[in-house]
Parts: sequence; C-alpha cells; structure tokens
Amino acid sequence: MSEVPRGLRARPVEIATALGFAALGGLAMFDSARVGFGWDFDGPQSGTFPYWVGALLMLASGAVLAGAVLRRTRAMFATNEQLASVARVFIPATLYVAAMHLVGLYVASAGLLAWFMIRLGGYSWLAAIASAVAMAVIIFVVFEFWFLVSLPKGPLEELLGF
Amino acid sequence: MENLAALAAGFAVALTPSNLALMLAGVLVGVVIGVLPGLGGANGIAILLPLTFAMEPVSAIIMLSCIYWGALFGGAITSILFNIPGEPWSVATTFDGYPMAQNGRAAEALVAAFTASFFGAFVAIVMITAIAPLVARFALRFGPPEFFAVMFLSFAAFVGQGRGSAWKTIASMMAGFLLACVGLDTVTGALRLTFGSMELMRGFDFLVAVIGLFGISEILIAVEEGLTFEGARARLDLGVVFRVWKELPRYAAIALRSSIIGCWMGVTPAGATPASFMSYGMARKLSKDGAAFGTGRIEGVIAPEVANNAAGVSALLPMLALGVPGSPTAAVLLGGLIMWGLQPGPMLFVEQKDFVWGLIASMYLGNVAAFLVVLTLVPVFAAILRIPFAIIAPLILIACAIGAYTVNTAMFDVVLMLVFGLIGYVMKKLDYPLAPMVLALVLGNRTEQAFRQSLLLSEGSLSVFFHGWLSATIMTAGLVLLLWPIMGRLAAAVRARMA
Repeated sequence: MSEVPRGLRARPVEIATALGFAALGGLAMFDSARVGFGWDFDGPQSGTFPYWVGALLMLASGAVLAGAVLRRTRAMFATNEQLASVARVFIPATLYVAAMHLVGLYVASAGLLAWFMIRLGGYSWLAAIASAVAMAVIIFVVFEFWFLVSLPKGPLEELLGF
Repeated sequence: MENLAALAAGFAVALTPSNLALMLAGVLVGVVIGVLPGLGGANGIAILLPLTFAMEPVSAIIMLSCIYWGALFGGAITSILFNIPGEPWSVATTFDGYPMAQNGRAAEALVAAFTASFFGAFVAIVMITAIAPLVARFALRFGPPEFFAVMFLSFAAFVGQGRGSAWKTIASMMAGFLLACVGLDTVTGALRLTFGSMELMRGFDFLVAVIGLFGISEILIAVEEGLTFEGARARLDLGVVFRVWKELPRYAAIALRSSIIGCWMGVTPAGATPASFMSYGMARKLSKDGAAFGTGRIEGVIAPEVANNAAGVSALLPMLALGVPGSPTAAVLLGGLIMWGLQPGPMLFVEQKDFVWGLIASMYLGNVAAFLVVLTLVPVFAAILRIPFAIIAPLILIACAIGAYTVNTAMFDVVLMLVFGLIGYVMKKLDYPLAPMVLALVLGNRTEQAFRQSLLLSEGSLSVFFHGWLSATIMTAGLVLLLWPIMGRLAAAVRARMA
C-alpha cells in the first residue's frame, strides 16, 4: 500500500468556500432589499446594483457548490505538513498585526524579523536582534524623515520623544 | 503625424533629469520585485502608490510604470536560473529556460529572454502610440450605455477566455463588485453593506485588497512549497550577447507571431499569463521539431517572453484610452490616476496631453532602461534569491503592512490585508481567479455609475443597452464571449450526436 499523505481534502474546503460566497451574496441581497432595489422617481435605488450582483454571486456559488457536492474526489487541499508551514508564517503574521496595535509598527516589525531569523533561520539571538533593530531604525529614518510619512508608534517611541 | 508631434512633446516631459532618475529607480525596484516571490507587479506598485501622493502625476506614473516594466523583465531571471517563476506570466519561460540553464546555456537563455521581452514590449508600445489616440477619439462618442457595454465586454472576456471554471470566475468577479459597493453611496447618500460598522463606511480600498490578495497569499503559497533555492549561475559578457543576437533574426517569425498574440491578449483583459502559455503552445505546435520543446529550445524561451511583455504593456492601452484596465497591474495604475485627481477615460487624451504622452514616451525610455539594467546586473539580482527565506519573508510582510497602513493611515486596513491574504490563499488553492475580483473592485463604482445613468436615459428599461448600434454591437460581442464556453460544449455535443 502506498503512503497516502494526511491532510485537509479539497472537497470540504471547496464546499465551505462556495457556502461562504453564497452567504456573502445573500447578505448583499438582504441589505440591498433594506435600502431598496426598485425604481425611484429619480432613477434606480441604491440597492439595485448590489442586489443583482448578490443574486449572481449566489447563482455562481450555487453552481460551484453543486459541482463540489456531486463530484467526489480525494484530491488534497493541502497536506498537514504544508498546513504547518503555512501556519508557521501566518500565525506570527497575525500576532505581528495584533502587536502593532499595542507597541506600534516599528517594535512589532523588529520583533517579527527577529522571530523569523531565530526560529526559522537558525541565527543566533545576537545577530537576529541586531539586524531587527537596525532594520527598524532604517525604516524609521526612511519613512519619518525622508518620506515624511508617520507610521504607527507605541510607548517606546513616546519614551524616546517622538 | 499628429501622434509623432505629440510623442515628441511627451519625450520633452519624460526627459527631465528627475524623471530619468525616477525611471531608473523604478526599473531597479521593479526587477527586484519581479525576482522576489511574494512581491509582484500589482502588489509591489500598490505598496508604493501611497508614497506618490505628493508627486507630480506624470512623474509618479513614470516611476510606477517603470516598476511594472522592471517586473516584466525580472520574472525571466528566476524562471531560467532557479526554475522558480517570479511572476505567474513567467511560468511558461521555465519550460525551456531552466533546461537550457542546466545544459550550461543559462547566459544564452537570459540574453534571448531579455531581447525577446524588449521586442515584445517595443511592438506593444508602437501599437499604443499609433492606436491609443484613435481609440480614445472614437470613445469620446461613448455615452453611459456604451461605457457599460465596454465594461461588460471586458468582464465577459474573463469568463469566456478563463482557463478554469467559469462559475468560479463569475463568483470572484461578483465578490469584487460587492466589495466595491460597500460604504457610502455617493449618488443617494445611502449606506450600503456596512451593517453599522464605522470602519466599513469608508469602503474597501482596492490597494489593501491587492496587497493582501497578491502579496500575503503569495508568501503563504511560497512557504507551502518549501523554499530552497538552488540555481544555476550566470555571467553575461558581450561575447554571449552578440552571439545570441546574431542568431535571433532566425526567430523573427516566432517573435512577430508571439507579439501579436501578446498585444491581443493584453488589450482584452485576458492578460500576460495566458498570452505566454498560448504563444509557447503555438510555437511548439508550429515548429518542425515540436517534440524537442521542453528540453532547452531557445524558441521556447523567446515565444513566451515576447508574448508576456507585449501583453503586459498593451494592457495599458484600454487603461489609458477607455479607463478600463487590461490587467491587475494596470488596474492599480488606474487607481493611481484617480488618486492623483485625474479622471480616467478618453478625455485624458484631450485634457491631460502632457500626462498621457509623457507616459507613452517614458514607456520607450523605460523599456530601454530595463533592458540595459537586466543585461548588466543579472548576477546581482540572482544573488537576491540566495538571501535566506527567514529574512526575506518577514521583510516582505513588513513591506505589505506598511503599504496597507499608508493607503489611508488606518490600522484597520492592516487587519483587512491579513484577511484578504488568507482569502487569496484559499482562492488560489481552489483555482478561483483573483484578477477578475481586483478589476471588479476597481471598476465597480464606474460600472455601476454607467449602469445607473443608462437606466436613467431609458427610465428603467434594460433595452437601452441595445438601442444604439455601437452599444448593441459591443454588448453582443460581450454576450458571445460570455457564452463561448457553453457554445463550444454545445457544438461538441452536436458533433458527437452526428457522428
């Protein structure tokens, strides 16, 4: 018996995505019906265009859904190994965006680079932190002074007087 | 003649020292973007667009379009040396380019690819110079029904010419239109699809969507495949360059055919990627020894590279003349026009002569610059791919986050970018095309506006789109394209029945 890689199959993901699109279409039709999708004295009401677009979205995702339900395949969406690699990037990215709300973009960016270099690149702590700080300072100078674009700052920048 | 005079004036605009510097900077950045997986023409330009708010529109578009040219050239480098297409439109280049590199002919393949790219781009630019003003003048007669018909035609072309499931193309497109509807309706002042959220009142910015859909998702796909770059090394010296150039005239027929395919596919929104595949397939089919394709034939490099650059460049023709972009990257540039306060569409050729002709002149100069830059700096760009992934990936993520934030200086957009990244990843894995979604998001408001104004003309009757001969013709062409896949299947069924 050949080794079958374990992982997420394509069919349930296909079905879930089609349902998601259908729900989006339904939501649009519902909200457009609230705004009105008929004819006003001065032209089509605001909901007209999104209403029919939503209807088409439901139709199209319904067709995709039917295809996915009827066709039984054992095709893979991604193997467990692949999903783990994606998570190794996506989870730090999510934490990065969350951290940006608290400590600002510069500190969060330095943290992200250091994390990747230590965990995935196998660099020493010293090298990683030095590169991360250097990068944050370069971005700071380029954006705050050169482009005059203010990026989100946190308590550390406040402490330093920015 | 009139065009040539306008073009000369355009060169006067483009040839200032500061614009030349921007051109060179754009090309350099563009090649780097083209080489890096996870950063492509569309999202690379989307990230940089907010930084150009304060610039002169013509300088801004010169720089951003040069990034695009650089990316079109750069895609070939990684395809040939590393067997990794830096851009989707370079996939076909790997078929023969990488075998050539493995046989020790990397330098030849690169010179052929760059020269082919330049040729394709040049043909497309000449076409734009000659035809764009005519198209624009013709389009000045367009009313709302005609504009809606043109939009309909371009979206129908996606469905008819797409390679995957037509339903998925439609779903992706409609989702894009819905995203464009979110927020304040500027005609009636009604709030649509916001569900009481303050953040959604502003609507979705397409730049944020592009950065997420193309940038973040591309990184996720790249990690999944496990990134280890093992590539051939190449040095280009003048000896190789001239040797390849001496051979090239033999492939003039292929180059010419491929550039016609590219121009056609670029003007219709099918885009550079299918153009490169189609041109490769055509070259193989028409070649005497088609079976040898895939083992390192130089024609297999020339055909897709001519076509993808021709398509990439000619995607700007409908963007400039009609305000309907032919590719996601052209859509981002169109978004730029709106941000710099220009009204895209045929009036651009009347009201913003300097802008339009400065851009067209810069296309000639930018492509020459890109050609010279890639020829001389190949080893440098190849070295970029040897930087470990653990450093490149976070840097790309940070660049995407900064780009998404600066669009509206809104933290919410960075969260949205991440969400779009995940959506883009799932859609890509399931073969939903992303380009129709982005184009629908960019064109949504103008499509709706044309739709509404047309209905006002007819007091609500859809027959307005078939009243004038012009809009009727365009609509019919759109319907034919839309139903093409079904008609093909019907014809096959009928044939099967007859047999």
